[in-house]
Amino acid sequence: MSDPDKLPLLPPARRSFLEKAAPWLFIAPSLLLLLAIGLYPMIYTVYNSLQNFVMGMGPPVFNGGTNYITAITSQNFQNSVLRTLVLLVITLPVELVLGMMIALALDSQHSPFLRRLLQICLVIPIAITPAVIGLLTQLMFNEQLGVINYLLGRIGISPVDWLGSPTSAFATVVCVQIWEWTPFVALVLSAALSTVPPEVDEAALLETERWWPRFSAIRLPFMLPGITAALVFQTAFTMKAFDMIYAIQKGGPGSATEVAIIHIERLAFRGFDIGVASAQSILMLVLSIVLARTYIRLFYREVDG
Amino acid sequence: MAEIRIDQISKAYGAHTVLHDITFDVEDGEFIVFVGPSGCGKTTLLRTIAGLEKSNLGRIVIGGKDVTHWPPARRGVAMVFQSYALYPHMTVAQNITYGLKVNKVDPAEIEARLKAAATMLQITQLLDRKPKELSGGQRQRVAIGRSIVRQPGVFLFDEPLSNLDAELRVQMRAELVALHRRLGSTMVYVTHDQIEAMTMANRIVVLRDGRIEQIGAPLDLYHNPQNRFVAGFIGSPKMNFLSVTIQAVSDAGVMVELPGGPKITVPVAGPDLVPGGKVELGIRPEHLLLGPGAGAADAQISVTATLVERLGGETLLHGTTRHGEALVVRKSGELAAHHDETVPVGVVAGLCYLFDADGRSLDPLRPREFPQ
Repeated sequence: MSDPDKLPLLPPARRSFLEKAAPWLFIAPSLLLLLAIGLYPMIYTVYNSLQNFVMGMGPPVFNGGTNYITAITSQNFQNSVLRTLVLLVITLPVELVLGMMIALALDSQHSPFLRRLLQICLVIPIAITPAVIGLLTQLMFNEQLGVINYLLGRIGISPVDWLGSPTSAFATVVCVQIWEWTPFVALVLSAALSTVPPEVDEAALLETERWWPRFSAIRLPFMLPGITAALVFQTAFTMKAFDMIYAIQKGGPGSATEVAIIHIERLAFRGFDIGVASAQSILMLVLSIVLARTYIRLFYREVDG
Repeated sequence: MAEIRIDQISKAYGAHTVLHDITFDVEDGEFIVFVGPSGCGKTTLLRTIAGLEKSNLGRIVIGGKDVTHWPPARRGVAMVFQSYALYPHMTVAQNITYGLKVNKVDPAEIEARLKAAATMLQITQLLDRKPKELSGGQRQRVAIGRSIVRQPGVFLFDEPLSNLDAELRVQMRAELVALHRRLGSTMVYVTHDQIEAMTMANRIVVLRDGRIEQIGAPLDLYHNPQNRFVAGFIGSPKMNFLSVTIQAVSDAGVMVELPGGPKITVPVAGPDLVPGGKVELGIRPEHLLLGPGAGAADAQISVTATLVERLGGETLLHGTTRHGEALVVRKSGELAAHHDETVPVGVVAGLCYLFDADGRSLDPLRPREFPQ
């Protein structure tokens, strides 16, 4: 065998144009689709947010950052953002704790059949269209006809006008949001839990029979990337929550359930102020990104063995 | 005291039974090795002792206490896994002391035990490193260190050396034996490598298909295998097996015909054998004679060499008999034979084994006299 270092270098391969373009051609369809439905609307929204653009009031005129100042100083927008954050702060921990409990229950389930069945059950809320969930909520929480009041009546509690009072309407939205998204969190955490190597878990099992030290010191570190993913997803889902809440009662009563996106929809398609609504959308996007980065900075740690 | 009593343990996964009615005792301070081919149930048995698997029937008694239904942590056992199973996000020191910390051992005591274990295993300089920064051998030491500090009554090892290279494996083997002498604890060790079993064990448990084939001291298994499986499994190179026909059964033993016609009388009892029947003759490679000594043997067979391995201190001649049966002969020193050469090989009747149709070893009429 001759020394590979002393072999003559091969001439650089001549590749045809098609050969060079092949990778790009392969990804082109999905890339174009992504640009068309993802990037273009975002850039267009940024463009609109810099225009004085009220539909039916003449062509858009560039007005610098005025829309952003209007957006930030709008009391209604501030309230809707605050409402969204309250929704997030209440639902996120509950979804995380419930999701973790379900994931752990799934993990401890030894029957593969039962495990599969539970996983399928978890997919149901995710598979139902949010608008349908909204309509079902309207029916279930109806003061006269709803099953919730019927069940409460059976244990002697008088009917509650769930969707009539601001506080109970918001509480209803909180409950339905948790019902809709906890299974998703559970599936993400279940996947995260499956990244704990079985022998490592067993090594800990041999050292302590107490559940908490084993969970916090051994399993949790492996789950952090999954937990961070669940936080990022759930925050994004809550920040852009629209269809389910809209279907329940369009942000009402009054503005009790008017979260940020419903407020923006109102401004854009009823007030026709596309410029300010676009600026508010971009502000929500920035807020989501800031929160996601914060989670990643605080919680994301990879265990590399 | 940490003797172990395995009492009629059976274990099945659905319809598939992996352990059949296993019963034996491990004495306090004994180094016992479970050995057998892949899938024989040795790891399952070890995990059942650890409490990581539940048996369907039977009970396990450790140190006089019935621990069958106890959780693993309460059994007073420590286990070293094949993959080491170190906690990757913790340093070596944290790995070793985790179990003590969660069990609220006094910090000064933890420190003392960590120091003692690290010194004993020569890993003092590695204490601040993470497992990924360690070599296979170092990880192995940390895994052992994690076991030692807990001062368990029983150590369980699940093929701990199989991920190491050959040289390191030999070194760690010696270290584990030294560790056993030093600690005097009961150790249960699982391996598929019969050399590990032979070199480390006080006693070996040979398993096949979830059943115990034989239990005994290494040389006892080597010299007195109870059946063909144990005879073939223990020893490297393996025992040679030749299919032979019974010529006569007498008080002197069983006379059989070897390939090529020579007859020898193997001094074993064969009350149920009849002339004309088939049995298997087993003989270890080092008990076959080559060269000048071959003529002095009880019988000679012709073997055509297919491969001659010269290892310096010894030579292995791989060949086939006239009936095409493969045979290995081990001779100390060097040998002039070459490939395709047909050589006479001497067979000493007193060193042969006979296995009946069920694979059982026929009892020798007098103890075999092995050459020193």
